[in-house]
Amino acid sequence: MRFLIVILSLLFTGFYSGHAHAYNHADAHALFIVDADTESIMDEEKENQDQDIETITIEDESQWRGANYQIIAREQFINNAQTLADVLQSINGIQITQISGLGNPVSVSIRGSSSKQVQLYIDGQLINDSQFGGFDLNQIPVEQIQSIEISKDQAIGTGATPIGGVIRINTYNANKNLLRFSAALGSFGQQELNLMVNTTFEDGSLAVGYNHLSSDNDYDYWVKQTYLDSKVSKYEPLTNNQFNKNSFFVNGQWTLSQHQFRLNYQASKQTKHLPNYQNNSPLNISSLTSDNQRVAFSHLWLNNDGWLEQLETQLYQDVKDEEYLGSVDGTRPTIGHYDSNQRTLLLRGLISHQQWAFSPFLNIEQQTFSSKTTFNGQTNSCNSLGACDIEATRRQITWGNRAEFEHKSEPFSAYVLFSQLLHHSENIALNQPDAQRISNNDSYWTGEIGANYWWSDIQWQANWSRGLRTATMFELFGDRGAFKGNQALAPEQSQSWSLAADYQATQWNIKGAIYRKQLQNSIVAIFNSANVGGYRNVSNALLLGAELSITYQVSKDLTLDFNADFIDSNTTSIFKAFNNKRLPGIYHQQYSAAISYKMSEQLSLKFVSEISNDLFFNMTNKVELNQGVYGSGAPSDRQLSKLNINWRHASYRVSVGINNLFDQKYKDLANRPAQGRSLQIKFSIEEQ
Amino acid sequence: MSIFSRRKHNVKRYLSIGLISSALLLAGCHDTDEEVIVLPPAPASALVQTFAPDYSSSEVAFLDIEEQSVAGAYYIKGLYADHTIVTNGGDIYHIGRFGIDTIAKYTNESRDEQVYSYTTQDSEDASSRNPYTMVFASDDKAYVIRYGSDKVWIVNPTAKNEEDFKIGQLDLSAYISPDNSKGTPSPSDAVISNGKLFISMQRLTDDWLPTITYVAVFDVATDKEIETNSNSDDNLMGIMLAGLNPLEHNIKTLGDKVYVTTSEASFGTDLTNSKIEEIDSSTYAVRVVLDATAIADNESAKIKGSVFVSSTQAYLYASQSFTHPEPDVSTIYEFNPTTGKITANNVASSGIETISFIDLDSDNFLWISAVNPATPGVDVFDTLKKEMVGTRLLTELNPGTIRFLK
Repeated sequence: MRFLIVILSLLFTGFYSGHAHAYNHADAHALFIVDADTESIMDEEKENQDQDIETITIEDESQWRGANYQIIAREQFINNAQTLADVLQSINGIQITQISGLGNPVSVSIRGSSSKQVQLYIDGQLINDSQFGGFDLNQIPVEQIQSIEISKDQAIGTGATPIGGVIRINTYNANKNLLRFSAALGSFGQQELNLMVNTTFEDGSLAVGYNHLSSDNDYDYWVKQTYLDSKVSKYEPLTNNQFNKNSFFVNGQWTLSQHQFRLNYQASKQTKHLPNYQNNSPLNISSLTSDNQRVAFSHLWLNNDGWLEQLETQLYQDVKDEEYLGSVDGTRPTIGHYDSNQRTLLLRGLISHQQWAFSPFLNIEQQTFSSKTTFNGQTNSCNSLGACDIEATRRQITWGNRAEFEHKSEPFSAYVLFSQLLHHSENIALNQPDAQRISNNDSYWTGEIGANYWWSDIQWQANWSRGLRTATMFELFGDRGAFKGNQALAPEQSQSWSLAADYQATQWNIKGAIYRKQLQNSIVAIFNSANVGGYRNVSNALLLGAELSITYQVSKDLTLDFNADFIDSNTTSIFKAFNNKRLPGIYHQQYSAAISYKMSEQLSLKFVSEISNDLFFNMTNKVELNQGVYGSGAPSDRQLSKLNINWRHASYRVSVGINNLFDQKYKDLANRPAQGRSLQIKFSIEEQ
Repeated sequence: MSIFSRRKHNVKRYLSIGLISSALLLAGCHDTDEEVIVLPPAPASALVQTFAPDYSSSEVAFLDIEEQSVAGAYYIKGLYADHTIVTNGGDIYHIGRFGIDTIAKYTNESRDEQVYSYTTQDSEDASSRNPYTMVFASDDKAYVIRYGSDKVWIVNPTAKNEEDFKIGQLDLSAYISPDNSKGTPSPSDAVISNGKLFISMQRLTDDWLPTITYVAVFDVATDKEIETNSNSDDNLMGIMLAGLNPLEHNIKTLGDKVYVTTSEASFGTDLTNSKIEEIDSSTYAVRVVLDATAIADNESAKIKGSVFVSSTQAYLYASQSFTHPEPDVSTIYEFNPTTGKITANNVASSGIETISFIDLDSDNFLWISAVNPATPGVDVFDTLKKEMVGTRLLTELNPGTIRFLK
């Protein structure tokens, strides 16, 4: 299969094409052509979304749509979503679970994947952390986002094929003068402030923005052993759970003849305090502070002559400094400093010939990570017991080619993408005499094939992909203490097949997809009898899934939406405890229904209700039942309802949102009682 | 207790061992407390605390070697999986450890019905005290050893109200290592012998390094610490040992002797620091029985636990489990506690997989927790006949601590 993909992608190298695909954030992977009629339906569909009745203009002529790939435009979320997680959880096939409270970790699953298997891009930069594999989904405030692209199985454009799909955040990039101010207040002390100015010039634009978001997160929590009297269990407002974030950005773009330039700068500082869930102690001062700066530069050269139509260069630098303070009683603190630095260079070309387009690419990335920890003012010595301070580096080169075919007369298009990854990782323990530097080198390949065909009013898509997640540096090297490394770790791999259909009619839109995903080499932390841990490849899994989305426009003012998502999973493992189980961390059944109603030109509302069942918190599928307030059923099962009311007049807008409307009790990502009902009121002014 | 005499407990055992005729002959007599029915020994009923290999969940399984049955899925824990078990007669105590700090009580007769769940935290305790075990002085008095605290709780296990659970405490603060600012001498186990409570302590520094091992001794009747005069050079009342790092389940008693097993520092390579030491519970004299170098050709395995059948027959198991996360291999050895000599290797066909726990029941059957990825479970070894009893009792999760029911 690998040989076939390489041949297909290189077959027509050197041919010319008169069919230009102009690159833009939302279209760089132009494959599925949407004709004018479909575009107007999409605009009309967006008219009936809860808050926006403006026509959405997708900047480029080539557009994706379907069950496998979606674009969410700014207007769909800007006025009612607190975070990116809020936006994504409305997408069928995406599951968001999180630890309750603003600023806490959020887990994303796309078609049954784990969060580490999902790739997060900000513009063209892969954000996934090489040390631990995760990412902060809410790194960019929604106010700074122009659009969000979601691909559920395949890469977006170029790059290595993921196991769990791609989420790509396209940062603010408007082509109109704009002054926007918004403020929000919400439950548990939530406050938000946004200010943005976008100025256009003859050849470019400049946007500057500031965002402040904070919350006390002092929702009522069932504390089993309260601090003042350990024998008493009761609901108390959670203490030391505050979150505070300030971010600033500058986006500039300009055009000089055939050259387009873009320069982004983002800076943010956030602090998340860490509560003591056991006793809610008021003495606890633990926190995690993160200082992040990101610079991105891109240059697009458009060539009107010759076989090379365009050449794109992107440079990114992302610097993150984190400080962890751990002290449950306010004394003898553990302080950890963690510094990450990521640099990326991306080169990508576009070669077109007749019905073919080729995008060769080269991505070079380096990430470094270092840690420095003290306890009670003393530097931890590295004695193989506690975690050691380390320096780690990963260098990765990804190259490949994407070939696209678009039939001129038939409604058929196809693509093939091949990527080769070469990576080098190394790690050394600090504060350890005679520390040895350990390194690891490996190479892998990934590939995708997809086809798209319009028949009658139905768009059909079929895809095959071979995806990959390489082991993180922590999984490879451990903490050089009691958590050991395992350099023999194989990457997690997947082979996925999917078939999707998208039916468009005047009042109906029906999307469906079925997929089969074979996962191999799941990487899991295993502990021996002395509690010494390390990551191992422990299991494989087979997932079968089906998604269905139905939108029915009853009238100009009333739209109904229905989503259903089913996953069947089964694991195989040499570990009896993990064999013949269902994958943890994902709901195997999700249903949602939504009613959007425009009561008047100014007033609209949307009510959504979602049922999520069959989630297991662990690989053994052990469920602790009979947990009192959660009844005798699975404690993760939830039925959540949400109400949004929007009012707009001229450039003013007020949105009221109530999450978990009926105050449903369930367990969150950390298997703890989730936050209950919350309210947010947002006011915005937007002048153009 | 002699392995050849036992009080009458269980009718099923009579029938299962083919002594119906003996039982019928005796049926006309009243069974009084003075009457001892001599029966061949048989393994006890037991329960085992099990854990997922990734520690994401745990549960307790009830074992019956005669029926060759395993009844699992009791006391399932998801997020807070760190638990252990202790029994007293037919009472079961499910101890929630780090970050949980609870003791939940059940009975063998009603295994699903929780009698109570009480905290092991004092009020205004900001950090977890991490209870490791309970040691019973009587049905209404027990000691809770808390690894994260310099205070041992004295509790009444029969308390009907939580306010009546804690009835006192013992102070171990004198044993905190000078390089420890966390306020605990890391007590890991305890046993009652000769009317005295013996508590072994790791005495870790802030960097998790064990320092000189001490065993504190308290009078069970008065709860006062006893001056053992073990070392004239120190200002501590307890008994100083030569070995380092007594782990969980490290302290046993046989007759008037107390045995402490130490396992050397986790990363350490000096096998002479892994010892079995004998304490005379009357005189507090200490004698080294053996250390890990007594095992022939041993280069890295440390002694993890030991059990004692008699003054001439005992068992230990040794593992080299710290050096890598891969499944470690453990071997059980038989040894003579009087001479300190290893008398048999690879007992119970050991030496091919990981062992996480061993213990003897009241009839001196050796129960072994075998951590095998594909076939985790509990083996039972007859220490008299020197042969396995039945086949492995397979559990779903990895077995750990085994306790016995009466």
